[in-house]
Amino acid sequence: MSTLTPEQWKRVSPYLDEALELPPEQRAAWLLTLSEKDAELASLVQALLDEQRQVEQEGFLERSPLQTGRGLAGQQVGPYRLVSKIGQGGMGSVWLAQRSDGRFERNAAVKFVNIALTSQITEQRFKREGSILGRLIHPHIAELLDAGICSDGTPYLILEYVDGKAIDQYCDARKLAVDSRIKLFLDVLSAVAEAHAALVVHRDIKPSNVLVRNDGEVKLLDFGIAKLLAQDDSNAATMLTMEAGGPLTPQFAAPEQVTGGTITTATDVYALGVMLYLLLTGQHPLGTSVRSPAELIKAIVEQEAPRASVAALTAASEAENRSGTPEKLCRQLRGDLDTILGKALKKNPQERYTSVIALADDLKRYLKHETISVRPDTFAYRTVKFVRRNRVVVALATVTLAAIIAGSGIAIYQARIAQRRFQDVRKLAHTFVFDLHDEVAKLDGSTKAREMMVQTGLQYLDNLAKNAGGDSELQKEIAAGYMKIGDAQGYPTQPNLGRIADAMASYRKAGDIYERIAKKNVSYLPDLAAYYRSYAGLFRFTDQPQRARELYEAAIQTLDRLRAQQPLDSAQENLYTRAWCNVGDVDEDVDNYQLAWTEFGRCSELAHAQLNRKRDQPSLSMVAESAERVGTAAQELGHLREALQAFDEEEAAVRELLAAEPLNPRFNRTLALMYQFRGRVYFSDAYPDYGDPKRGLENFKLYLQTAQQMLDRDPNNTAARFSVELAMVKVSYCLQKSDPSAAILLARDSIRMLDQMIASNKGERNRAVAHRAEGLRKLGEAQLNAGQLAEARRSSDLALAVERELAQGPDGRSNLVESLILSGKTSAATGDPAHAESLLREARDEAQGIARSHELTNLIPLATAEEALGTFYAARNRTREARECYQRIVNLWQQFPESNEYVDGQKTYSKRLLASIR
Amino acid sequence: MTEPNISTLIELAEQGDEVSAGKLFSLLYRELHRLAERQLARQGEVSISATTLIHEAYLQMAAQVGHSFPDQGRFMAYAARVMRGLIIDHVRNRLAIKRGGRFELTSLTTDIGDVLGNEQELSRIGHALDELAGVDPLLSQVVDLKFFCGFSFGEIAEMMRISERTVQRKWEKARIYLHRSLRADLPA
Repeated sequence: MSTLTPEQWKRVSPYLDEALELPPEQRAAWLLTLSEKDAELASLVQALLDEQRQVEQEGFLERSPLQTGRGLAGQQVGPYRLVSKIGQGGMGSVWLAQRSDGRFERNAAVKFVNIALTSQITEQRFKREGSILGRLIHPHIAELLDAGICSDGTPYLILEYVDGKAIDQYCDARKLAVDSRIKLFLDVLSAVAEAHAALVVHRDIKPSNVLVRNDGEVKLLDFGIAKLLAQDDSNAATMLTMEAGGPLTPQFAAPEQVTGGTITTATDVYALGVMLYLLLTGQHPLGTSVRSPAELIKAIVEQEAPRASVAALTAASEAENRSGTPEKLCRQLRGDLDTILGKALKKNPQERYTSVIALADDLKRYLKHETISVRPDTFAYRTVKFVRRNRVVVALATVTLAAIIAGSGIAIYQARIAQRRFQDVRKLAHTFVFDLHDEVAKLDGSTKAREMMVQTGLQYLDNLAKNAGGDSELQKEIAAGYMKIGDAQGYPTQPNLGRIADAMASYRKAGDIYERIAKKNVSYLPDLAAYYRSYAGLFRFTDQPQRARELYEAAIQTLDRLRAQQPLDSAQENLYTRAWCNVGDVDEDVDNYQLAWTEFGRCSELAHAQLNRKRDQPSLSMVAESAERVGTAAQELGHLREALQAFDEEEAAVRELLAAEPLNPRFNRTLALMYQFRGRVYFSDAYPDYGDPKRGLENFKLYLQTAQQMLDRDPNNTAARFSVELAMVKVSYCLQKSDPSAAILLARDSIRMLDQMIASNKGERNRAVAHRAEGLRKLGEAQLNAGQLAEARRSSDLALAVERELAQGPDGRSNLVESLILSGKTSAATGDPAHAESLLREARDEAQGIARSHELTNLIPLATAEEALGTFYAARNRTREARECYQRIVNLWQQFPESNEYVDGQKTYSKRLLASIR
Repeated sequence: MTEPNISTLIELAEQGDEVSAGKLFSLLYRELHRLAERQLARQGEVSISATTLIHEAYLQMAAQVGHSFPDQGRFMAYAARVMRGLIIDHVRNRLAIKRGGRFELTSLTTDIGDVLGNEQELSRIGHALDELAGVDPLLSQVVDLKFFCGFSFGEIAEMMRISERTVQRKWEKARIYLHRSLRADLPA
């Protein structure tokens, strides 16, 4: 956050006026339209609207500088005397009050309602509604004793005073286990059910409105008060909240409350669902990240809550508060509680539990281990339920089946009955290994279940394999089964049990079978090739490139063998092209860009040949994919013209794909990445003096726009979130010189996004941390350009600290070099030349270390570092040292073995640098 | 030495004459302070609201100057700026003042911690408001009138001759600006 410059403020001011005039629920859409026109402006307006939310929350400037809280103490409200203030919220302040009219003493809570909320309320209506609520009597509902309006017009409510803790704090403080929490929650439900029977909807159920006294007694506060404060139409509570931070709490609001739908008892069911979710998992169903109201509303309306069992896995402290481990908690929640919560949290009020009683009934059934009323319709539910409730039976079945299989080895030759039994077992194994496994794999956090399936499946498969005899089809099925098992055991690119060695063993079993059957019959060659390619992945992703490359080549040779006998069909051609791409990928992994470039060129030819045979989606995808690889490899090598050509080709292919399916996420992602790659050719860290900043900016803006659209369509898409953040950094980078203040804002936005990602702890934390360092560096550069020297130094030092931690491998180390250079520059600019010199020298030495591998991209940091150091010396009239630095750059490019537009440009540039010193 | 005429000072200040603006400030400051002291002398230890004080100052000075006195809205805009300074100084010296038994502005606190926190925050708000005045003077006026002098949106609308809704929106914008600016020194 920063103070806006007058220019920025003048520019944003009319838009801010417009946004503030809009009803809050329309702002998100309005911002989206604006961002299409002008993304920076929109993000600035968004930031200011976020700021407004904080202003509202804090009640910033709402209290007169000359007022304080003691003013009311001792005053009389109705029969009560105010004692001390016990709370202050968006709604108003709450006071502890005492009644003493000689006969009895009683404590009460007096709630003064913020006047801004209540301009429409008449005293008469307030009293009338108050008296209805006053009749709501239930042991778990805090009684409303009186309601009225003070002489200065402030409405007040007098409530039964409850000395207790919010239910969530109470549960955590006592480390209550899941079942005890549910029992406590059932008390809440009984109170809500009573109120619903009296046709009173709470509308604002949240933990801070549910207090638990020390004796364990639950008390619901503020029943019906949201309604009392609302005007007569149904969505008034929403309006109040949005305008005044009032009685409704957005975090607990049901979708119909934020969209202006009808508020019914189902609204309370939803809020109760949120609260139960929170009590059981310690997390909010919509996640914990800080959001703007617009984002929150979007999430309330659109975002499905993750299964509670999955949410529970993420925090050890939450599990500890429930006297267990995350895994145990996950197990407890998985199944019925997931289902119950899912039902209560349905977006559509009609799909929720029809009453609070129905919800309570299911929870009671759960506590008694009975079948609950709601049933999810997925296969996985039934299986998991079946397994848990009947663990013994399942175990018995497994043993029996194994016996059948063992026995069938003999039976198979003897009787048709045995044959049929064998087929049954085969079907069962198939179900277990394929259908069931795939179904369960889709459930997050299903590792344990999958482990069991893997084991059982393996057992079946081993038995089947022994008895399969000469049936090649069955053999093939078994081999495929082994691959599936291997995937579940440890295939790195999908959810797995992390047992690479077991995975390899299973894969080898599969391989033996494929090789055997392919030897007998060439029609199994494609299966064998596909197998090699999958197996290669195991090595590629576990850092054994050599072995991976051999296996990709084996896949290619296998298909060549088939091709010698018969033409390949399109699926086989596709596999063939992909295998070539993979060979290139492996070479690229080990920084052999030259070789990779040639191989990708081969892929591209193959893909085009495919496209000429049939212009369909797979062949277009293949063309796009291979063009992307050609482009990125060419770029690494400095063949920038070729890189641009390839990206143009990719764009044409992707556009054709998108024309048919405009919303396809994969195509959109490809397009977004293409913009990024192409932008980087025009304008990049690596090629600071090549290209066309304007077109670079253009491409990065398109990148940002495409990524933002993807994220809007799917807010859970982490990859898209990273793309948006990265695109902001790139656009910021392009604007560094021409518009430093916009560059600063964008870099800050990007950092803020990353902070949210890091805070919400949604996977890939390390990547977010690394990106954050880069964002900080870009921020520092922009600040340096804007002349904000102290800020620039702080940003760059923060970035440097992280980069030092992360510097492993050439990429990390070249980031470190950049960070060192920037910190050197900012130190110099803030009058610390000695420190600057040592940083710049360190940058040079570090870059020297990377430059040992003679790839262009690893030389560029050295040239950059030498130049920064040389410039530092030149500015201090240390001519000899400056000249030495510049001379080394000249030599470096003179000695570079290849010639291309980038290298040639550097040769000229470095000579010019050197000449400037003489 | 003749006191410069307040309406002349306002004219000159509006034309950007900084010397006159400075004189205007100290003139109004003295006047507001004097009124507060006099109130105290007359009634003993008593509370007086900023709003009352500023109204009274207007009536007093308008009576002295007569027809040529600027309209109430313009006067209030200046006086409110001065009142801000007075209040910040007041809060800053509150403890000393209390001991000395001098005048008291509305419902002053007795909580020391609160005073200290407030004082720092108020000074920062003051600085940010000066900055805001350079960017968007109407916004800073709304804050002076609303936050420091306690006028209602309706009253401000009348003084500034704009709609009440516009005042509210300016108030919102000013709060956003100040909030952002006050938190600008947090790390990135």
